[in-house]
Amino acid sequence: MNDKKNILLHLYGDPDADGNLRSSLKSEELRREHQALSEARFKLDFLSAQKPDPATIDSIMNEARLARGLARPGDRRDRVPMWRSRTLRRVLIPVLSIAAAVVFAVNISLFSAEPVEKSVLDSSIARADEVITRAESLLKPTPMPLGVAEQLASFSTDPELAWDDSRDVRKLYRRIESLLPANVLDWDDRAMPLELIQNQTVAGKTVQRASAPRR
Amino acid sequence: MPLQERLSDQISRIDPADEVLVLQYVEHGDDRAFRTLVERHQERVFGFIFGMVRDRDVANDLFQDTYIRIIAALQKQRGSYSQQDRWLGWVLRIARNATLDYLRTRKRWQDVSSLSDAEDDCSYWDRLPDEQPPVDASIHRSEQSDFLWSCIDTLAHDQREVLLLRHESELTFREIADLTGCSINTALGRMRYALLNLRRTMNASTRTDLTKVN
Repeated sequence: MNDKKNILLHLYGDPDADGNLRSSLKSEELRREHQALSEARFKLDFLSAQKPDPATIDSIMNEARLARGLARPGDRRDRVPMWRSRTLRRVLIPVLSIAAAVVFAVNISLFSAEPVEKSVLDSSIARADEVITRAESLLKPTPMPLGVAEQLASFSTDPELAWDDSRDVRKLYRRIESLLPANVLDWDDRAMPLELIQNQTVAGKTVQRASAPRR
Repeated sequence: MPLQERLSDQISRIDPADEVLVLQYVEHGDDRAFRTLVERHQERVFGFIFGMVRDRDVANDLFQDTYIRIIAALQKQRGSYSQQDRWLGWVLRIARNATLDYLRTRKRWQDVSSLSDAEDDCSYWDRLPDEQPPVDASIHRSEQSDFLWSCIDTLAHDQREVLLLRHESELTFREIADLTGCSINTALGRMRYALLNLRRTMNASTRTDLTKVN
């Protein structure tokens, strides 16, 4: 087989061929082998070269251009980070939903799985009654101490309450009364400009402007 | 002139290695470099695919599918391609996978359809085209090529694969062995049987044709 292999390697000019072809053709059988193989090989040279359609090449080039455009490093950076929303949508929300459902189911099973015994129910009712009576007793009016009640009664009868002291008002009123004689104008006097009444004696009284400097 | 344009001009002028063109496309996004790569090996890749499927439309689809896979692989850190590998070998590996995927699916359909006419014992001769062009030096080259293709169709799958990889894709036997996952002796053995069977088929076809004429 080595010689036959070598004939084939020589026939195709393969780099693995050993020695020269003539040394391989030792016997008649090997020479016939060489003839048969070279005949078939020669005929195969008539095979016409096959080429793809130009449109196929063009579409490949479009793909290459498109892939290169998509693979730009800038595009990769600018891409919206989807993992957060995806994680929220795909992981967190289902997990939270399941957790809520489990908690709800556990609560339901705790309250409804075992029937309540009558003794437990009675004791609960008795405890609730006790709480209610205690609350009622707290809400009942309690008798006041004697001194406090009298004080309160005196407050209620006094017409002038401590917080309603009108002494300031009275003091102001008295001051207005004391000032009134100095005012020469009566409420029904004819209106006149202040310049005219400056240092003018009206009805025997000297009128002084408030803005005038005091002596 | 920018460096990239100068490099592209140099590439268009001289004939750089495949690896340089790959680098130009991957690192600098040079479309012309990629087009050069595709066009440089189009006959080797397409010839293999066409020889395996024997349907021009399907071969075009598979050729495109092969390069789409390659583009996708190159975008992902060059995929399984490294500069130590021969570009054509890598491309043909992907083309072979795409072709075998197609042939497997087609075989499934053929198996289903053949169940209905299982009694039809079709021989190789029945499957040959009706009008066999004679092997004669005077006939047109394209007819001769068609005849050769029809003879190649009769070969066993593994023999046909090695023959196409050697003749159409121009791989060495060592590369064929590496690609198909067998030893070099196995690849050589398949090639030997392919050539001998092909010769036998062609001779038999010629004799049949001659008897028809007489």
